[in-house]
Amino acid sequence: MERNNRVIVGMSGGVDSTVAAFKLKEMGYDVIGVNMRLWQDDFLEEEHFMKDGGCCSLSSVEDARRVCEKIGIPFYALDFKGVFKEKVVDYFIDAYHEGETPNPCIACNKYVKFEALLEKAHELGAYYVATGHYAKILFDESLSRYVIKKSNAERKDQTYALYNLTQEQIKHILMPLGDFESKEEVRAIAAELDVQMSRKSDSQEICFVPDQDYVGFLKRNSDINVPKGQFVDSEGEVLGEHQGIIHYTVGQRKGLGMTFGKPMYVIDIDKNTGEVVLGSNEEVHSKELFADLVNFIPFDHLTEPYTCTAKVRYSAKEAACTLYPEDNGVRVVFEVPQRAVTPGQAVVFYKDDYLVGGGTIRRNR
Amino acid sequence: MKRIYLDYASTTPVRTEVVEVMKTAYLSIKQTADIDSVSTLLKQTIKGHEKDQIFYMGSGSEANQSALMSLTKSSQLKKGKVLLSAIEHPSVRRAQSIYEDMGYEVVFIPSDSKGLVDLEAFYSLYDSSVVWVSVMLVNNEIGSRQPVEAIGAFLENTDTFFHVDAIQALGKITIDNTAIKADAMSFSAHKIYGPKGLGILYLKHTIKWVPLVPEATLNTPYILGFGEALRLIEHEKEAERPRLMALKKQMIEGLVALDLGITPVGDCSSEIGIVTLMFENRSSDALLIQYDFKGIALSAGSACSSGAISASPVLLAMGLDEKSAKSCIRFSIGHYTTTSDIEVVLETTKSLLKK
Repeated sequence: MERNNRVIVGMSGGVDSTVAAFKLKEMGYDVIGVNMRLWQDDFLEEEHFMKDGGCCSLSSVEDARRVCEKIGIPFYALDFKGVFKEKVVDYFIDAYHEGETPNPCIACNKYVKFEALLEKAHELGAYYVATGHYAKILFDESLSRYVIKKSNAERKDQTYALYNLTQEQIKHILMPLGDFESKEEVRAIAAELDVQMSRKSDSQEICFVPDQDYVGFLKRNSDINVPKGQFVDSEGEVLGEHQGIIHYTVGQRKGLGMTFGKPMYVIDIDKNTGEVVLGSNEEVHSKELFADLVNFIPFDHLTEPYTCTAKVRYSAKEAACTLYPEDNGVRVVFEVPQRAVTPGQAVVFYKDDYLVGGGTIRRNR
Repeated sequence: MKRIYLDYASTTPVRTEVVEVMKTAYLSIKQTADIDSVSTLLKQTIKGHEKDQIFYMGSGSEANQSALMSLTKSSQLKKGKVLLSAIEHPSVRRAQSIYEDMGYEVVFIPSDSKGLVDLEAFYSLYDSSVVWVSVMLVNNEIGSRQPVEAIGAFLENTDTFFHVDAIQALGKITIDNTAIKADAMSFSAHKIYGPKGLGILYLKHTIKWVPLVPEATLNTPYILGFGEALRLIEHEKEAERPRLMALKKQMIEGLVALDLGITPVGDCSSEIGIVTLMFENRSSDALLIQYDFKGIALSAGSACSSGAISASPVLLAMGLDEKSAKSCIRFSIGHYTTTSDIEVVLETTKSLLKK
């Protein structure tokens, strides 16, 4: 499609997407606000229906509509329930049953925001999709590629969940909040707009499990029986009984339901034997990992060892490492062992302020 | 750009005459007699008994739900089965969980592919444990007129209560309750060019009404506004109906004749200005937005307050698959629709789909 200045902005009704839309309009773009209706499970949908008394008066939709009116842009709500259920929720459920800890936000960005929404944008004649992510998209002439740079509002950096984007996707994405120096600056603009916005917390909670009870969610939404199993130590010694593998994640210390006389952490989950392996603080650290489903942004493939930094989860600190290309993925060797390297989570690579890429951490290659 | 409104089934603009009546009402205090005359007019319109009862409340949705609730409160309704048609408005269909919490078993009466309640299925679902049946008179998405007379006749000498949601029918077609034999009917003012925020419940005089919220003050201006809206629409009905039917025909035939894969869904033969059209291999949400860009306001199915477009449960109940249901758009015409509006719709559709 030919480049034009029409842009679809995913609006949650919150501060970030509101300011993103406002800024794009000021920059002269032809901005259309869209609220993405996503799947929630029947239990929560019904609870919401009883509470709000409407057939679909989700409050975020009304907040988004209100801010679009204030900014002076058209607003539409669009249904993405089907693709969200299939690509994000089902993946989330399956991963837990595989003994992994999924990152649904990454799947949502890849398949929903920057694939399904982008397709819809093109249908509506828009070349671009924009979001309220704190990240910068630049075109690097020397590489002839689009690259993603961390935002100056370091604390709010959200490049972690963007490592999976392809050049074809990035080409069509605008992230106007990347140029802000701080979240405070964004809040100040929002305050000037003088319109009620939703006050969703910045926490990393999963949007389709708002009560944070993901175990309850998994039980409601899957027929798979999760048998109880055994806690074992790294020698295979049985330490006690656990509630079923979906209750645990690597690195977990609290909520094991028993005490051991010294701090014990989940260091591995074996879905075949149903065992949850516990170990000491030392054992929950790993010096290397293998990741597959790898994507790189400044280049297509890794052909030789590459020195950079990496984060093993969103909240982790970047650590120095070397990437080694392998069949179907990369081996990541850290200078200092990393805590709670968790299968299913993303490992994301950086070089200075640039997002290099990332992949999904696996137990074995 | 002149905007063209083709979403009369969602809501209608308030007519000037109605606004005038409401203005006057706001400036005076006592009008009990006037309210009675509105109730009388409504009873006459639907050929009710003069002793039948009319109650005013906040919305058509409230009227749809409060009949069963009131009868439960006054213990006139025994616990048992509630039959709701699968193509009812969400305010009826989604009351399922509320009714279940109250101790009823809710069973849905299926629809056929034309958007008509399946009578054979109804007869076979019915047994002596059925205490309540809700079937709408005119479907709000397809415009199909339901066989309520057959259901009313079937239920006449039973203990089962029969509720008819007549919200889309009032003022548009003849409603004769001597033939329908409903115990309860609901109406809404804003579908007939009256004010939003007024629902009306009709109950047979044999039924005892217990208000769910006692001692509520009536919204007199709204009620008198509704009375004026009803008087006008009934007065103009015989002239307006053929005009609207000609416009509906012009629109459906015109859109089909474009030969761009547009077909009407279900039974669109009723004398109601509502039709749902399927746009082959298109998605309704993108189309709606494109029509909106061009100044044409439409709706895909029952328009929820969010404007979000999920596959319509009514269309799914008629047997459409999810993808087909999401390629359907409802067009509904009304008092201010003109031939030239329809011409613009045909032109716009052609240019949108030929791209």
